Amino acid sequence: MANTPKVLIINAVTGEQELRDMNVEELAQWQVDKDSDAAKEAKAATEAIAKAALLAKLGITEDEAKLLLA
Amino acid sequence: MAAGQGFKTFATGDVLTAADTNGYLMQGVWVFASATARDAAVTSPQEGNTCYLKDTDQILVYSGSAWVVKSGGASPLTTKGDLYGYSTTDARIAVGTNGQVLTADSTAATGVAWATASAGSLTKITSGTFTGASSFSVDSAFSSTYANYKMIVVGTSGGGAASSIQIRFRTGGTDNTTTNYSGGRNSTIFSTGGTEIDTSSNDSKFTFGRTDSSGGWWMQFDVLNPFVSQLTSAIGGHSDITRGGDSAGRFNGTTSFDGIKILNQAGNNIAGSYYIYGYGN
Repeated sequence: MANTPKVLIINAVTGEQELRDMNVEELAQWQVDKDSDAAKEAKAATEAIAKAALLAKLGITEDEAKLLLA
Repeated sequence: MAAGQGFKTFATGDVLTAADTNGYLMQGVWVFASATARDAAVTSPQEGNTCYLKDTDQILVYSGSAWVVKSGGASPLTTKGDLYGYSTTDARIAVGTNGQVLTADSTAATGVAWATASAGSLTKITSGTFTGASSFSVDSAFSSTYANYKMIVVGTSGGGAASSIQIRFRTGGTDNTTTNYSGGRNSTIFSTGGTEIDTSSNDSKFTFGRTDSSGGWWMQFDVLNPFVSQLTSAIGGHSDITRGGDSAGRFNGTTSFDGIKILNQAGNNIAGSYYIYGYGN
């Protein structure tokens, strides 16, 4: 099992530092963030594949497509 | 009193006249108990006459219109750190308190005065190192003292894998995880000249920097209005070993923040140093 990510919290006024494992809420938020970022990356990958397929269908390169839209 | 006549070598048989006595022999350093005693004895001083006053330990020379102190005055200094100044006479400039600086002050008798140094336009609030965690938060960094801040992050390790470095704001030691963050980085890939854009929109944090699989990573940015109840923004730039460029992000709300979190999206430990400064309002 992977180690729980740690967080470091520093108080700028007192200089106190706390290094600890993410608590339940932080771990949950981290998972939400990971899922959100993964979904974003999957969407971007899907769009890239669709874009490449469209370019292939049109028989033009990405630069030519940019020229067309300029 | 006769005026001094300079120097004369007497030859054998010369007659010592009153004029010789007054003009040559009497032109040494006259010793008096005080200026009062001198003025009583020398009612018509001549330019170049010299005296020593025992009460003040001073040597004075008559300028033709006044007696002028040339040396020998007692030091006015009394305390460690005192400086020797001048008003109309030599004067003591008492040492200031710790941290004060000496400034010109025409209203002071000696023309200078100790004063508290001005804060300057950029004041360091905090700095330190971070290691052993996938994120680091700096709390109580933003306050009503400054409206805008500068933060520098010098990353020495990104955890061994390429990943986004993201920013989230905090209040009272708690992350603000509302989906009000939008931002991103526009990076130039050094080896190819190509670009890489990584953005966040209506997210719980915004992307700002990047780590590569090895080497350092760096971010520097201004944090605008984090504490005041206005929209908060971060604007600056980023770099790692392979790419770098502009970065920006904002929190679409008027929440007051007193802290900031820098986090590695991948959850790997990061290490480095940070510096936070306040801009003078």
